Amino acid sequence: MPEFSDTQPTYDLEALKHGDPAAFEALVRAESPRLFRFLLRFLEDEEDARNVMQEAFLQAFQRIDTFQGDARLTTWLYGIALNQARVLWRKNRRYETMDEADLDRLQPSFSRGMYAQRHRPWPPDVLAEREDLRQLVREAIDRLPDNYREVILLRDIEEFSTEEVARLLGLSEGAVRVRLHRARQALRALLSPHIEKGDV
Amino acid sequence: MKQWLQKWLGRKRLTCEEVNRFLAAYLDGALDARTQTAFEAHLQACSDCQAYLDQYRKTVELARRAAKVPEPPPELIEHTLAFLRARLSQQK
Repeated sequence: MPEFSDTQPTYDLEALKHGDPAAFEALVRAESPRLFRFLLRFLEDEEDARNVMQEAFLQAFQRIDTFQGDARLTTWLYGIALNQARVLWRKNRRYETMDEADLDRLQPSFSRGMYAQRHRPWPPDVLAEREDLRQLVREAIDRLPDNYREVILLRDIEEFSTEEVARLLGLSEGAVRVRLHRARQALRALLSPHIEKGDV
Repeated sequence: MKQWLQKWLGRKRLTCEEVNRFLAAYLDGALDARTQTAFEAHLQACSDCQAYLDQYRKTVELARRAAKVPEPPPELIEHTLAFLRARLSQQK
């Protein structure tokens, strides 16, 4: 799995902290496309994504002195954007989301350490490009509780490293994996009946 | 005690439930060597865990594919820079 952080450019932090316009421009030029795509996936609306991205850059420039250098600059920038995007997503969300109890019911059950239900591999063609399945997966992700949806978006879709997701969400790496595992298992359980019945 | 018996008794064995709990760490490559060996040994012998891992991996892949978005509009960067210049100049 390629790591998001492997492709991170380095920025002239001193120039940024001195308010050098060329350094800010370099940051905007390099980070806008990726940050915009992230926000579009998160908010599912182009105008919202553009507005949040612009405000996030503005806040980053205004608060650059508070950047401690203990995280990557881009992780810090995404943290600002994520905080703003969360507020907007909660306001505009289209689906009723599940709660922890719903999520518990979607985890596999075990009897004496073994799966209570038998599993069969999914057919390989489940990964073929199909709009109906894509739509089903998107809706399933949107129905997850917000903190589980975020961890799927950041780790599995944006491919941030677990360490970066932990920094962004203020969690330990272990806690990120636990949350991610519950989210993936819930998604698997939501998709499984459709895939096994072959109705997508 | 014979060496092979000592090794066999000291070997870590996992249940399906424990293998399930380690799935995210396994895909992250974050298991310690002993747990990874036990994980893989269980997986090799358990068709149910193999099938579950297959579904789990495909779930991750389906999530990734479902989230495809179009390329950003070509004017995005220039519009963002213009927005920032305007807002920052208002504050001077």
